[in-house]
Amino acid sequence: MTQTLELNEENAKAEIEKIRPYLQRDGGDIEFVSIDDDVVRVRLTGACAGCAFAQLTLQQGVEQNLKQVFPDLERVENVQQ
Amino acid sequence: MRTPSHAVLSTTVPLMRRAGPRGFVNAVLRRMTGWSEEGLPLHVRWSHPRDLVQRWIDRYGKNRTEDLLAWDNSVPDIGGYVAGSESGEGGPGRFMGCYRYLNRRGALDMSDPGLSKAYVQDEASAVAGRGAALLPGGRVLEVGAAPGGKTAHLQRWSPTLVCMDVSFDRMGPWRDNAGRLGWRGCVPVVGEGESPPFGRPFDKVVLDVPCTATGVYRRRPRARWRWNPGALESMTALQRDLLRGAVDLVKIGGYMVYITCSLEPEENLEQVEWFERSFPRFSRAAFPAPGQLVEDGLLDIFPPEHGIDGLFAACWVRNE
Repeated sequence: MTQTLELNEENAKAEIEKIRPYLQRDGGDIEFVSIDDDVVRVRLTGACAGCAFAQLTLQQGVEQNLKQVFPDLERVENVQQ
Repeated sequence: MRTPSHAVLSTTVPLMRRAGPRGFVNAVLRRMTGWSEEGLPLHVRWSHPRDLVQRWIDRYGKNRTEDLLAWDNSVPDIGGYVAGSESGEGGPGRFMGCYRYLNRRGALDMSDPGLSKAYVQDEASAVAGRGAALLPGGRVLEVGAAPGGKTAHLQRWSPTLVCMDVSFDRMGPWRDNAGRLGWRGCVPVVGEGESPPFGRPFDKVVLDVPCTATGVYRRRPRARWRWNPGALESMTALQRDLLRGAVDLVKIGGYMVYITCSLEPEENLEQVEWFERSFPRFSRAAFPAPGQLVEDGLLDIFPPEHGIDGLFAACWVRNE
């Protein structure tokens, strides 16, 4: 069972750090931008930027993972560069 | 005669330069070649089985069928899913940022740090593999795993991946790829998908099923001559056996994925409809792929229109 955490900037940054290697192995990357209400905003870069799979990766990969840790999370949004 | 008209003319007429009625030969050849290629039936002109061409004309119409036939006879791109992206070779994929179209001219420099970790495959296979990988599930079973085209994606997102195919011979190339690409967390298994040797359900089962391969004739030009209605019938029966064999291996809340490289409705949409009628405890989920490749939640690629091989995929979530 995954341990749940309070959704705040420090915890969100820490969890995103855990996801980064998955994207980096495909030449992409992700960086934390902000939290507004229960929405986490990130920026996809590298090979992920402009990739048709980026939004799917965000929803299916990143958001699903983060929701297990942060039950209050509403969604993850990609901030365009 | 498969020699192109322009080649017949440009080779034969100059031979008459020194002797004979050059103008007469030129005129006769131009008259003959002017009608020959255009007038041929499509299955002769594009060298495909007659009944298969007719079934495509019935489904797609003549123009789209001819586009497909021309696609099948074209020279395929070479490209691959590149782990790490720093290779300077080639251009990015049409749909995937981590795919590379490689330069066909000259030998590839496989010592390039990017290419040494490339799995060479059509971008359509990469799209299907990545989509299957993105569906949730940490403990995953892949049926029809060899030679590893989908494994290359699944292993990146699956902490535990059991990769099964039907024989040691088939798993040989999979093991070679696993060693070269450093796949970790994968358990290779030889077994039959109709009666898989597992007692505990998985979070996700991915079936990459045998099929008539009509979507990938460009890469497998000889496969078209294995086409016949009997082969289609035996494939559809096997595909249903594989689906039946997997249903109890998907845990509640888990996913089933079904992938073919066929364009035929008997192996694609009709199998989906049969599965949903037979196993209502599964409901269709949208296959994670770029929107222009997905219709009614199904990955459905038509090569001449999408510019990649013809793959099909469906996925379902188990509700009870």
